[in-house]
Amino acid sequence: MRDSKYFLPGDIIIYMGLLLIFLLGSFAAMGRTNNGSPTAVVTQDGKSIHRVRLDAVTEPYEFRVEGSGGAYNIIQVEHGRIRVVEASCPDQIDVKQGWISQSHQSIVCLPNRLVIRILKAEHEPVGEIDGIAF
Amino acid sequence: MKEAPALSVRRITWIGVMVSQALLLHVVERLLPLPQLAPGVKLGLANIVTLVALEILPWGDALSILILRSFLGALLGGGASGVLFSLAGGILSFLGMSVLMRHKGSLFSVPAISVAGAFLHNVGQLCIAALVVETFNIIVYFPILAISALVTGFFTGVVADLVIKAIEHSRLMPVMGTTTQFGSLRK
Repeated sequence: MRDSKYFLPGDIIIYMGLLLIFLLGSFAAMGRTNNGSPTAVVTQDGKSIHRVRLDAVTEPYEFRVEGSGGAYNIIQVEHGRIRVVEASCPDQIDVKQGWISQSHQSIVCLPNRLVIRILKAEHEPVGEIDGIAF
Repeated sequence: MKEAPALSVRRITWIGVMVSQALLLHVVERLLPLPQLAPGVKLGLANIVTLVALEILPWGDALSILILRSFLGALLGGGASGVLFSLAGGILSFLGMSVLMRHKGSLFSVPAISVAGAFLHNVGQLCIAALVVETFNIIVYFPILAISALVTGFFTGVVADLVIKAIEHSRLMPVMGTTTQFGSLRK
């Protein structure tokens, strides 16, 4: 490639670096996907407030999580998947995420300090590092 | 060489204009209906202002612009909690870009600096987020953020570069860059 003004030596390092992070990170994330008994854990402020085995869910249900200052999230659980259907946060990032069902996926609502994760194994402790890929 | 003038009307005007430009871009960006790929994935249009400020204004002024627009931006929408995340990412990004700017022209081009800045911004926000919700798992978002930084950072960097060149060409303002604070290390 001809030396254009936007591809100086330092640039290449930066671009390659980010591509590397993307590739390595993708493989690391995919390695965590396989799931025999998907268990979803809903935590608020780091404490687990709801735990459910998604494949054992027969009837869809939903519940509301309250936070400080009127903050809330309404979580819907169906067989094999979970999502936040309504929330009080301004960005609605958690609602826009939609359903999650794999262990590499998670839903986060920062203003309400809510995190929904799907564990790899049923007895995985919440809030601890379960593995470092690289 | 070129020195930073005393706190003149000119400097104050520049800072004021830059801050309002950044806020405007911030507001406009929020109005655009774009897909949310991951928390923190933004176009980062306001970074265009940060880059231009780093290049043509004294380093301290550029930092002031960043801090001012972070606080004011939270008032315009995004919530008070947004200030913390915005500052965390913004300052980390700013410091990184300041360092890279010193080698602009020889080692780095503006778009690349913008890409690095965009990524650092996301890293800063992600770290604060990990602390707030006490979940290390949040680190799975890194790859998406890396690619998004690459794309959006490049775009905003090119725009910033064009703006800088236009300012230089029009001789509106002597381009001072970071030489005023760190001595003449460039060129």
